[in-house]
Amino acid sequence: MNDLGTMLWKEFTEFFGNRRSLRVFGLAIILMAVLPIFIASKSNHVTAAVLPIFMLIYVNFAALITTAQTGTDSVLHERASHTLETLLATRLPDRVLFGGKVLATVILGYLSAIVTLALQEVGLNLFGKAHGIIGFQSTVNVLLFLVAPLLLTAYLATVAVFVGLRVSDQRSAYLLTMVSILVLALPVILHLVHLHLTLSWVRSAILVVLILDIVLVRLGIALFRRDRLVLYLQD
Amino acid sequence: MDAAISCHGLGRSFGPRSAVSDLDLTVEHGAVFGFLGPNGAGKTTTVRMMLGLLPPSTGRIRVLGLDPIKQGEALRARTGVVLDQVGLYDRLTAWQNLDFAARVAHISAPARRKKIQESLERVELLDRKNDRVSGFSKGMRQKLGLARALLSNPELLILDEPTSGLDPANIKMVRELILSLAKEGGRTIFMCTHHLDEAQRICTQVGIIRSGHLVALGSPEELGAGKVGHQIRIRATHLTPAEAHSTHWGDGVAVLSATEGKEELILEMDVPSEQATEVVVTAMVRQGAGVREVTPLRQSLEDVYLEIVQGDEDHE
Repeated sequence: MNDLGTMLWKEFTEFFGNRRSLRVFGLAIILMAVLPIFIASKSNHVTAAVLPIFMLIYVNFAALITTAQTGTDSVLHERASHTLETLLATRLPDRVLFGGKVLATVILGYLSAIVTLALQEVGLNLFGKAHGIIGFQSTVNVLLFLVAPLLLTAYLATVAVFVGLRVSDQRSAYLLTMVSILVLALPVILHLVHLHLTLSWVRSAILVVLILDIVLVRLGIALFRRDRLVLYLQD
Repeated sequence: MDAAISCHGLGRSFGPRSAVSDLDLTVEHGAVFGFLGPNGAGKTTTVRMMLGLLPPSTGRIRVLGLDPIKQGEALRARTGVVLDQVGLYDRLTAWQNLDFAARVAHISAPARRKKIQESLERVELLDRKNDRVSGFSKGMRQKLGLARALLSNPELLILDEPTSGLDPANIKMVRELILSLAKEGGRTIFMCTHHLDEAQRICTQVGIIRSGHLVALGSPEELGAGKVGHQIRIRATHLTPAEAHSTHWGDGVAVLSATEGKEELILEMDVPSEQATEVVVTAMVRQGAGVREVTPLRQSLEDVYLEIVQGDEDHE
């Protein structure tokens, strides 16, 4: 636990000490907070029933952008500045190195989702499009607003760490990580016609993503081994 | 007591290519070991196996009495490392870089502050403690890397090309730092280097690796001494170059060169042993020559190294 705390300290100190990371983080939040407010103020079709769906889409987008950017950058930067091999030469266990990278990315991704949501709520109230907190009237929405971003960031952070190890430039790594979200989006798109966001459907979807996350993280821990990573660096 | 590092028949292959093969090596505790060899000779692969980053394909390795693969975590906790690319976090300050290393080493918060302060003072970077490493010169990075490696007071220090790419002033500073570490005693230093004069000056033991094989091992004096006594220089009078070349000076004795100096002849000779030197001198005196001075031709580590490495290239 102490070691994981050390890794998180390092990841956050690096993140908050880097203007570029902060810029992406800030831009993703502002953009995704402003868009639903803008759409709601310009369109009469965005009713109170539809508004939470807009909010939800943009909250998750903010989380995904931040996660894909942060996860790939944290590994690519380690590779470029030759700190990864130095990190491997420390006493920190493999699972801590991997867990630290993934967890730091998840925390930052989830933080961006929560901040985006808070800004959306404030903005919609300020512009008179809502009165009080919206989107939390049902259990389905609570799950979608609070649990879905967490599970999605966990999935994407794990993918981002491995993409960062294999792809050599930031743009390609970012795009490839974002494309990986299609694996999750595809079943939703295919069933769009029949999609009813009932509580049981949302619960099932959350359960499926949770299982996928657990499998991915376990696979990540098994694959993130010093002897393999050194060979990646050698390549 | 176990040696600090011991390898027996150690080998590592990458597919069909063998990077290190049949390496037998023992480094005693407290030694300053210089690991020499041309690029691609297998130095980095050996270091990686020592740190438990790569499992060996063949043979056995123990570092500080531990198996680097099975007990890697415990081993790395007792080892300080500066790799050929120092690997500092550019986005962090000098202090933060050391802070991270200290946290990794489980140094408590109050002790951490004191240790970081002392380490930065030792490498003369205390005034730059709050500066981001991205603005540091290569020399400053190397010094900070050394400070980081020393933070946990490791029993074994592994340095991969510690003065590579530095300007002369920084080379001197880093060398002096390594020398002072060596003099402190109780710590084993394993240093990969291309600077042969550095190895000669700092190391108590030297190994030369070529194409994955260890081809020479011993103290710098021993490696040079392999050649000492086999070649001598004699300053003689009343002797011409023609006489020097035509005379039989003893069995196995060969005149390599005979150069006329100011009222003397300078001879460089190959002799089979130290005793043969006496035979040569006696023969010269008997022939009526005067012998002013006899000196062994001491080969530097560089001569030995180049002989081995160039021999390899010729062989190839």
